[in-house]
Amino acid sequence: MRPRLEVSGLAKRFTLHVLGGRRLCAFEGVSFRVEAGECVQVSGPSGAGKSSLLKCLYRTYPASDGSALFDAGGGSVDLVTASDLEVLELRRAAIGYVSQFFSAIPRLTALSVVAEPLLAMGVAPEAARRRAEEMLERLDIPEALWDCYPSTFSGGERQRVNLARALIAPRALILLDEPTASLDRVRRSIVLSLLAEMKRAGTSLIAVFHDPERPAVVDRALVLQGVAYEAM
Amino acid sequence: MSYSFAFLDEQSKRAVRRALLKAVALPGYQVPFVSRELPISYGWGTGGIQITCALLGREDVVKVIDQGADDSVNAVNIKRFLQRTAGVATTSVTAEATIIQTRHRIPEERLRADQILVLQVPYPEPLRLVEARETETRRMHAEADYGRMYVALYEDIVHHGEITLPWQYPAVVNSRYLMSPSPIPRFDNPKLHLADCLFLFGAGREKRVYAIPPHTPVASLAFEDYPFRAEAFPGRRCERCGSGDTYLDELILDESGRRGYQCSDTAFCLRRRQDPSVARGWGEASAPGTPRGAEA
Amino acid sequence: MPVLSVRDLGVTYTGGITGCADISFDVMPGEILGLVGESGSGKSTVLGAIALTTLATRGSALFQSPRRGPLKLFALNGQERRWLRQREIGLVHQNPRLVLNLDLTAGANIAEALLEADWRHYGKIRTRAAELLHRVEMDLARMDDVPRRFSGGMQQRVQLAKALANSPALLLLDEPTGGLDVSIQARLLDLIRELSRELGTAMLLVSHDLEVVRLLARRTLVMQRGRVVEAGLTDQILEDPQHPYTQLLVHSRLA
Repeated sequence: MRPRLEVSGLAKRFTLHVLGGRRLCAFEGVSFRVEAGECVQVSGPSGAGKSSLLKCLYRTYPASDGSALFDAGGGSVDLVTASDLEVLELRRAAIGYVSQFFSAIPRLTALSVVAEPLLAMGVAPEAARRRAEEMLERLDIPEALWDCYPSTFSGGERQRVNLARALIAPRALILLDEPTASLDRVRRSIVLSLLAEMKRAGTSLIAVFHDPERPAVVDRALVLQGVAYEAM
Repeated sequence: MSYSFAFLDEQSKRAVRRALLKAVALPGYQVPFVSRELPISYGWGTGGIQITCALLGREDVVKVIDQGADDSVNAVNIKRFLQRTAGVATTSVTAEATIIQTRHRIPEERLRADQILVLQVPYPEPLRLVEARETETRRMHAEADYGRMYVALYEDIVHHGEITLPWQYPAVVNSRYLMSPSPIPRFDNPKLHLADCLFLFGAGREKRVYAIPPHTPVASLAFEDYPFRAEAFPGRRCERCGSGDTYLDELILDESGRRGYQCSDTAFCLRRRQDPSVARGWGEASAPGTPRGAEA
Repeated sequence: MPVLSVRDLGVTYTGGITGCADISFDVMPGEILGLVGESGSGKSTVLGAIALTTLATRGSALFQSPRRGPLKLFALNGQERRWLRQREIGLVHQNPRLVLNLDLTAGANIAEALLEADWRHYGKIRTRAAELLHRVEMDLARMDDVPRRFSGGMQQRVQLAKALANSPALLLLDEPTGGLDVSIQARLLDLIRELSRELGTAMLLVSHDLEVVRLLARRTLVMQRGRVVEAGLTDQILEDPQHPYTQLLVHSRLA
């Protein structure tokens, strides 16, 4: 059976034209696979390109080389060469992403933010709302905040809203960049048990955790080595 | 010095007639024409006069009214001008006239197929109210793009609860062109619809003529739920003849300042005084005060 | 199937000045496509060509008209263009004062769009105008007020309501929040996003402001000197711009 994701020789290089064309290499020659329901941790020293790897898979960064074959059962797509519209469709229904940073959409309440991915999948507004409430409750966001704007929340609260949004809809693959960074021990374990549930439901996870953590939910680790900088 | 018959030279008359033929062929469409110099300034009926002069023949009998009256200064002046330059007979009896020139009113009696009503028009362009540019109004007519005219009516209803446009009430002629029926009160609009006579409109200053041929449908603008309503004068009657179904002018009757109402059409009022049973004759569609909805 | 499919669009003004050249893109149903660039980039020219107010000198644009099927926009005559603009392609200008009649009531401004589309029932027109004003979050009590007395943000909402009156399949927005206070901008942008979601209207959004595009457009084109220099997912363009000019734009942001 095909792996859910097969990455071969993936590389990411930047060319900074504003700095006279200086080239940076985030990572090179990365190859690995992820099976359905598996959690792979991406670790390595700071600056090793861990976040960049996740972003390449999500296509926020276009990869410079290599391939990333994704198969959620409906046929194989190379995330590196897929068209913009194909990527948007994958993001809508198959691939999720949680970043370290919360980018506020000004006037959406926490509830609306969390419900949005379900609405995009065609779930009825009432049902989406209920699921969003469940999710917020699970992640310990007080009900009083549900109709408030996340831009006014604390860092930890914002992170949990982020997570709720990313984890609410069933996905084939979720990419997580330091999902528990701003959380205390109790809330961290809530999130990790949530991730374990999703794994059991068949979701594949690729996550960067705050080193040197290695949570129990992780099945395997991928270590990125230090990168080479090329000055132009 | 002698004038041409009816003052205008034959070439000028021919040009006006050509314009009129075109106007009759395109009901409601404003046909441009080259306005001639007359010994009357713009704004005093030069358009109407040029039409009348172009049409006059020796056998014609002309009636001229201003605000419904045969004896107003302007009407008398125009009649005198026509008598002097064409030597035609004039009359104040509507039924006797072959050509009737008018400002502001259509006679109360239904006109016959052998009669022509010539109306004096200061502002021929109905769309000017909503669009200042001539290039744009021409395009709107060409494309029958009249939506914006309705905006003015919409606002009227918003502010007053009904369409209150008192005169120059725009109407669509033959389901095609929107026209301004000249400053006749909206009371007179229904008379234009499926009439037996020919209506000709002349605007001297704006240099346009247009026409409504006989038996042409003319629909005054309205909304589906706010149909056209001609003015009515509920409960009022003419002081002189007692009519309750004619267009009435409000007048101050004597030195004490007493107000009363009198028929605007003085000739018709005279007929009614002689014979109260005389009917107006314009069709059902022109019955005044056509009820809207449940209003009786 | 794209709502709008533009290929090799070019606009050359008399005198040989290039407004834009070699522009190709699709706008998919329900999506907001961003068109970003600085002054003189040609982005407004592109919008003008699609809005049929600027004459395209090269290229083609295929529009899926809900009522008339596939239409070649640049081959339409004046009357057909007007028909489309009245009913199926809405336009929101940067400056609402240029579009609205400031001395007609807000309701009348919206009514104008409906009347041009042959609505003739006063009551139904009122209902629809009220519905639209409600949708753009305006107090219905202002329906019979004249926009001359409104704030810029409110005028823009009236313009938006008018543009949406006949449920266009495509909405063109030219710097819709330009010149407005920041807080008003944010609310208006949220409104536009909600309307996109609710109504499924495809939108082409022109802006010089990357933040606007970030909030609304899922795909973006970057223009410089009349040409598209980069096109892609909005988050990719903002976080990993490839073209030198795009990098310059992104790195010049104040935030």
